[in-house]
Amino acid sequence: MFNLSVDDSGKNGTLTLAGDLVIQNAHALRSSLDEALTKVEETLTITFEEVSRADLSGLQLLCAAHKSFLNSDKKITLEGALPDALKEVIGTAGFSNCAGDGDSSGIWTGVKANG
Amino acid sequence: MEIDTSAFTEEAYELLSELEDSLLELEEAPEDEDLIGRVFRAMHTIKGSGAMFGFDDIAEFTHEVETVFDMVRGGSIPVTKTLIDLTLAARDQIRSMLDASAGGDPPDEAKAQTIITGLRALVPGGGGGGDEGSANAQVTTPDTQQTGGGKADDKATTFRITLAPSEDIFANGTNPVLLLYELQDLGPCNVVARLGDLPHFEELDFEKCYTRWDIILSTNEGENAIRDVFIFVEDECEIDIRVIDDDDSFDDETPKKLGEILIERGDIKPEQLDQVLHAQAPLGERLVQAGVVGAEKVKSALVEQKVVQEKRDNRKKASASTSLRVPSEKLDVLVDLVGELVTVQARLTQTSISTHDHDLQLIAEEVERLTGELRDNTMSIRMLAIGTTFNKFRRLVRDLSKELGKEIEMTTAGADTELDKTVIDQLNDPLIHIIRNSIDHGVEPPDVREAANKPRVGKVHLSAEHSGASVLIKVMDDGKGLDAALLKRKAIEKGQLPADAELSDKECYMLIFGAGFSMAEKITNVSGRGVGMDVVRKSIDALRGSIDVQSEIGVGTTITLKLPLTLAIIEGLLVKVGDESFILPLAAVEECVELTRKDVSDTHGRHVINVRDVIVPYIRIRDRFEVKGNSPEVEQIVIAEVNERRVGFVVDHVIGQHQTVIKSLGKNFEHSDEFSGATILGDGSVALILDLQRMVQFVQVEEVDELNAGQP
Repeated sequence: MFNLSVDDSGKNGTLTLAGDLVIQNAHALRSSLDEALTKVEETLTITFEEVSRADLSGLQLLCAAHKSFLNSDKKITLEGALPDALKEVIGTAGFSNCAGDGDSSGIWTGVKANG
Repeated sequence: MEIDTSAFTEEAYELLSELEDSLLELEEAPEDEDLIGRVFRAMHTIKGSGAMFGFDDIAEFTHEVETVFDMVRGGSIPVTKTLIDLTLAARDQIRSMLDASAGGDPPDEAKAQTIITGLRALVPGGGGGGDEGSANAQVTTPDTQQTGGGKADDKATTFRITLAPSEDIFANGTNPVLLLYELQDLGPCNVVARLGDLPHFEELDFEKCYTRWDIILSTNEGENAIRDVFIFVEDECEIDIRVIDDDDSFDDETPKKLGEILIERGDIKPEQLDQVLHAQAPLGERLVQAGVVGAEKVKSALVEQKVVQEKRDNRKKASASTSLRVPSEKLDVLVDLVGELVTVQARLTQTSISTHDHDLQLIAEEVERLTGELRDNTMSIRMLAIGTTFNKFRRLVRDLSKELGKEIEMTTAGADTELDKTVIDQLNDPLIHIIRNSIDHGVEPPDVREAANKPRVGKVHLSAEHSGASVLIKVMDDGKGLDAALLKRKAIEKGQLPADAELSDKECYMLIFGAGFSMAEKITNVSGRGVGMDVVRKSIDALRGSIDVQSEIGVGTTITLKLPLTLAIIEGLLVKVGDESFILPLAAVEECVELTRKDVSDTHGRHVINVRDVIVPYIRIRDRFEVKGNSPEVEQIVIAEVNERRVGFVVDHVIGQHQTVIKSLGKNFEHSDEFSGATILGDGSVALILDLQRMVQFVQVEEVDELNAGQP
């Protein structure tokens, strides 16, 4: 469901997320993110194309991971289009307006609910 | 929702009359920036509130005038006569638009267009006023992405909702995001998730909720609908709902500054804000440092800012503390109630006296004192300064003199003299007629005046002053004056006076108030039909006032209106004749003297008495109103001043001072001219209020008739 691949240098990794990013799967998501945080040295790219829905616990986890990456001088980038269902929940829950942490912007900044 | 537009129309009418005053003053002092500002603000307010209350036509039209005055304010258009004429016309146009909205005739569209074209022609290069640039040094603008399918219109209320679910809310199966979906159904939402409490990834418990929300929601549904959304999670969430903008907010008001909002939300403390603000150099300093502008110029601009701010603050303070707008009907009800109270108090006093109950008498006295104070206070609330009425005539004088090719300056005095609102309302028409008459018949054209060695510019002076329980309103002109002989001849020609009538000058002057009397050689738009001054007499009679005319040929005419201060409650003198009670207005009463049978026989039945060597004529009320019964041995004469003469009124007994609530006599008695009304006494009986002036007039006429009839 969640698949992490890291290149040989260990600098860059890609996390492909699929299915439901909800509280029932939160444990697995957390493990994947934890693994990425440990293994990837510079940039983690996450793709959400296969995600069918998300809830608040999923969004919180991703935000916390983003924060940790930034704190360790690493970065997270998003790749590919965001599924509508995900965009809608991000917009409704106000995560696209979330100011992130300190000077940096949030992971979802600028995501439009129906865009 | 039905919008109550009366608040707007009422305010707009008031603003229009202020606007007229300001424009007329501006015509005299075209450089006065304060006046220009006043005109601009009046237009701006009419436009703003017009749009808010759905008077789009008014808002649109007023915008044009406002634009021009904004440029006048900026110094790019000078104040000229054309500008004043056009703006006055625009003011009239807005008024007719308002009248139309209240069911009046539709406004003249073509006229509106002419005014707009005229105003646009004044704009150099045809440019309009641009928006002022914002000096806000905002670093980033947050993305105010709006969500929600609910509808909200301009009348919607905007709420700030703070939602802080407890950390364990997931455990109870609640998904807070669903609450946000529900809020969206109420209206457009701006939701900001606050993740400040989100722990480090390593410490995060994914079964806990760390997110808080600030939600800005605009909705027509009201606060209860919002509370309903949270009804099942109230115990698990901290919820704060506040109105941050609604229909009552002023559109002109600057939105709150960021710091203010943060303090209001409790996110920062005022001292923290101060600290940060002080750490940053003020804009002026930064501009100077950047070499954009010199320090002197900044200082000068700051002084201007401070002065304007202080002025505005003072104005706000003054208007906030000095006035309260109340519908006049409410005051009428209050006056009626006080009237009833006065009547009941009289009964209480009467009862306390007749039962010889000392305690009750003490209470009655106390109630009497309080009622008196309440009456005076209530009456004083109804008192209005006559100045606003005076100001209305400035325009009349300006337009009329222009129309008739005369040059007339209007001056006023005693504008702060107060009169009962009812009296003021009914005074408007009579004054219009008198002023028109002065301008048309009194003040001569400029060339005639110059030929007569008079200043070219004529004068009309309006004044008001207190005189006892009356107010004297004078309209003076320095025109050609009234020719008593000519007036008399005209009246005889018209058959309004017998050919051999002997009249004093004053009586001749009073002829101008006769029905159908006119001295005008030709009928103009202004006067000449002989209806105006007749209306004046009737209106002043209805107000229980009197008219006096003084005039001198070549020097001018003064018409004085003497009006009662109030029409609702007066101080009266209660007297008895037989079983009947009468009230004489106390303000006119000078003294009371006794009349014995001997006094009567000494004067051989003539109705006069010698009071301290002055002969005073008297009227016997018993005879006048055919009161049954015999008069006592010693009667009382109440001597009053009527038309500047002392006249006595013979009664059986003088009871004393009485607070008199004037009740109208009703239709059946509308021809009882000698009474100005009636009042209810403490014992429930009715006392008639004597109209002394009318009584004297009637008696004089009757005596003249008797004399004429007695002549061979």
